[in-house]
Amino acid sequence: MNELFSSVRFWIDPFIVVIIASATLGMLGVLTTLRRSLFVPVTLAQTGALGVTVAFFLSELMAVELPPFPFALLTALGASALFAARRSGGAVAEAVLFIAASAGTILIGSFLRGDIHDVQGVLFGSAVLVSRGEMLTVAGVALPAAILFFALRRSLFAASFDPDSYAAAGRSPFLADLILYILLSVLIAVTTRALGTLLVFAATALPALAALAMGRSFDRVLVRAALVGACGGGNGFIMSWLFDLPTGATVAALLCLFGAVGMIAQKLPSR
Amino acid sequence: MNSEWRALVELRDCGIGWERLLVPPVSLTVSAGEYLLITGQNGAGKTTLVKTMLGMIPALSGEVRYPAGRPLAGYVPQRGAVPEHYPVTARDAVLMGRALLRLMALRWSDEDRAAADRALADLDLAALAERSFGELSGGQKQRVLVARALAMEPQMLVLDEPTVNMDALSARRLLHQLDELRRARGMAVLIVTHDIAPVIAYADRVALLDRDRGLFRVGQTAEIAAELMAGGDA
Repeated sequence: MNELFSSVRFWIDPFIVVIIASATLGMLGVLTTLRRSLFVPVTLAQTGALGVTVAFFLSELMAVELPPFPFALLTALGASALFAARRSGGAVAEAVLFIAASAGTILIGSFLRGDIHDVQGVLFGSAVLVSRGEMLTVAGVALPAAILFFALRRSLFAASFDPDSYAAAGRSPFLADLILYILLSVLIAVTTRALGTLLVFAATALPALAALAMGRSFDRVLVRAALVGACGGGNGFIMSWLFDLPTGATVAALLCLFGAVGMIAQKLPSR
Repeated sequence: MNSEWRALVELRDCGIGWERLLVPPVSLTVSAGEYLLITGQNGAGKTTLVKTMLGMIPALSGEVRYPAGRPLAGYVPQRGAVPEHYPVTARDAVLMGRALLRLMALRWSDEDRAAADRALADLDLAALAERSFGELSGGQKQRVLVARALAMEPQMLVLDEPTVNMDALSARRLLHQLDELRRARGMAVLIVTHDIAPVIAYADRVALLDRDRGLFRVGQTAEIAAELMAGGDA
């Protein structure tokens, strides 16, 4: 434990990133989980990864260094628009897009010569390599996105609960869905580099499942999902450091445990 | 119908349907304060008609006009159209009606809370306010969804098959409450149903859609009721 504290300067930045990412993704994941769109976040992460691979490919092709983040954001935003437009039959779009993005990433990646490790880092995460600058970028994007989501939560929730009444009131369910998916895309685009797609998936689904099992008020569920995400992310990171385990998998396993406890608690008879 | 009633929606030779016309082009005016029954067989296009009226789907032809600007419409969907696993109490569900009024609602205002409490009281739901929406009976859920629409303080309340699977007493109670609220608030009430028996006593006018005979008719309740009795259908 002493070693952990003495080496704090090495892990504090990735630690903060994992906590911020798990908490904010956990909060936004409540709506995707309620809508039974559990695979939307992982598909957005995968389409983002395709964007990164394309950025690396074009960089090699044109011999100029292109920043991967805008490419990741662009592809994820394209997927967001598709998901928002396809309210019904969304599961098919999620599956097809996930498979297409995965295949595209691997195929385009096979043409890369020098940067394959960077691509793998994006796909599987490399939380321990997060720099101070990346931490500030994640914080600078995730915190405003979380605040905006919290400000819009009631409208997004109403559109998700009953899109027909939302439309009858003169509002656009498509726009509400698009806002939700754009916020998710932005968050995923900046956090996948540290978390990887597996942990992005875990952080959007499992804290939400645990929180939904514990509460019957939307606001409380949101706060609890953020807390479960932060708690799972922080503790998982520390455990991975202490026991020399892969960070993403350790955090994901801990979040699975939280999700399972939540679902078991929900099945227990209430007094 | 009172000639002083203000027109909220005007349909002029409106073609309704998703890709092809369900019935001949529809001309219909809905005015503030009226109780309109929209009826026809299953699949006749009743829901499509109200969705076209509310601008939720485009008219295939003709024109939908809002003479005094788009009216604020509270919509109560068919039973089973809303999910039951969402974490909301009955009060939260009713407050959701206030969230339909604006994109950003960081906190509920006193006005929001008062409107929700009034809607809960109007439908005798105050005692159920803190119960989970998913745990309520079908009839109670339906009343909560009506209260949600009322919390918007709408100019037009549209209910899609509100009495389906409701026992006769509960159905009559709900329809009577709606009639009283319409008079008190001066809002238009549009009820879409294939089961006209419980509603017809309250309706000022009836719009009849008959897809098989390619017919759309709108008229005073007694007139259309006589036609239905003679035809023996709908």
